[in-house]
Amino acid sequence: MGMQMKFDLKKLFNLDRRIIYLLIFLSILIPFLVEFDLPIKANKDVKNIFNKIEDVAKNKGHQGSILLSFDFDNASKAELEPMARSLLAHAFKNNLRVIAMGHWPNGVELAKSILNDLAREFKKEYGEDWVYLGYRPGVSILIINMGKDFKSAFQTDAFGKNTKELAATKNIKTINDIDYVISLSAGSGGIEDWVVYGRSKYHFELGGACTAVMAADFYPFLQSGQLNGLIGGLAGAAQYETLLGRPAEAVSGMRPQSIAHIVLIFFILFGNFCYLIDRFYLSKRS
Amino acid sequence: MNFLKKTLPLILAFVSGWLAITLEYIPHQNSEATMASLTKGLIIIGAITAFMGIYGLFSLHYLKIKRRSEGWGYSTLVIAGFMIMTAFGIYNNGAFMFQPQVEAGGISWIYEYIFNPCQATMFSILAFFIASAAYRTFRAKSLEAGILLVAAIIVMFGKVPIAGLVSEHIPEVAQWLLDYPNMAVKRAIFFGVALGGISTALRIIFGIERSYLGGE
Repeated sequence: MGMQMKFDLKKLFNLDRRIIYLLIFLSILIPFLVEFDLPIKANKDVKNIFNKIEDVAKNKGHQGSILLSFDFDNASKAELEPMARSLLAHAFKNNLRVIAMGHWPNGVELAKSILNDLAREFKKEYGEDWVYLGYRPGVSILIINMGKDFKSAFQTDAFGKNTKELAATKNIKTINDIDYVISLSAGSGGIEDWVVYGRSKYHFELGGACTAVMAADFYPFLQSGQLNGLIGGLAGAAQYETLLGRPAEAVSGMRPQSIAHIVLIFFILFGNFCYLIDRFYLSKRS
Repeated sequence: MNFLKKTLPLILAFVSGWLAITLEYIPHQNSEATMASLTKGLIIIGAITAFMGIYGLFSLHYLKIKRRSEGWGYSTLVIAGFMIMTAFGIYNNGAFMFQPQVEAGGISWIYEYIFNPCQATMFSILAFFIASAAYRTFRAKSLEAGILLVAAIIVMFGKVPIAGLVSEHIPEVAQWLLDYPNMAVKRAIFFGVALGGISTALRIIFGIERSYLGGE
């Protein structure tokens, strides 16, 4: 009986990975097709970013500006693009000026297409309402340079226009002239560099948006106040979309993500169940 | 030769290291201006290293192709991809290389229709590997592993909105785990990394750590 049980468990242990792949695939596909509502409640870290943008808009109006650093590329587009779109929509809706840049060379085209889409939707004029500075090498050194002399770090924008002649950037001498900086980060050359070389040296307000897998890394910065808020993963993006009253990709992505997490948890528990039963029979036999 | 290979780099590391540290703690406009110039210089050096990277990439893959090493076919793709992108970059849709990159050129096309879907696909198949790996390896083999397992399941479940339908306390517990135990551990790791970074920097400044000189 015990040997038979053990044999069956061994088969379960070595469950064909194609079955796992199929179940994960279905757990993602079906919730995309079947719509159902989920309660999305924004946490305090997401609310802090939202409220900061509201504050800048209230206090500065069109003279208020935010800097979005697109520190990601296509690999993490699924998580970070919805955040970028929501943040831009929020800034444009409140008539704030947006200055965008990026530390990741592979993210330049992606950032351009997101910025163009949102600018078109909100009928914003390039140079007056938004500017895209593009990529410059250096990361930490570039951030330090932006704190010392913004124009020397970015003499021209991504399209070769002089930043001294663009309305959105002409009055910016250092990064402290920007009201709020948000790094959309997918790894090295992102939030951590902004905290260490930017926020700590020049004391500007900094918010972060990152992939879910990275979010746990940034909690010490939240408690120390070096980050005023954090949007973590697609769930964070969905919370921001809900706060903004503009449900889009992230909110609809919560359905497949929720179901896929449940399937994943089921596999982990099931694997452990098999492991414990197997151990029990092994100890009984010995 | 020994002076150029060893002594001069050591002197440069010592002087520039101390200069950067000293300037950081002098709140004077001259110090600020010098620091701004230094950072500009470092950006230029950073850009120059890109050429060294290209040289390294080419020599590595050229040797693989020449020796017909395992997977040399992939090396031809690396070189072909690089050459094609460079050619389109120089052509710049007719505006050529001394103008800013034009919209809708060859680079944009390759980026949007080849690079973009390939990179997104590579990343998205991770979900399948993670599920398979979690099933096979995430085991409560000890008390510590069991605690990790329970915490992981709570966070994994608590961070998606469906947890709110089961109980409003699950997201709160997940957030507590991130806000306190996770943060305490991360902070300890950050301190460790920072202290390690400082000691390595001091070792380089004082010439104790010389591996960057190469050859030894």
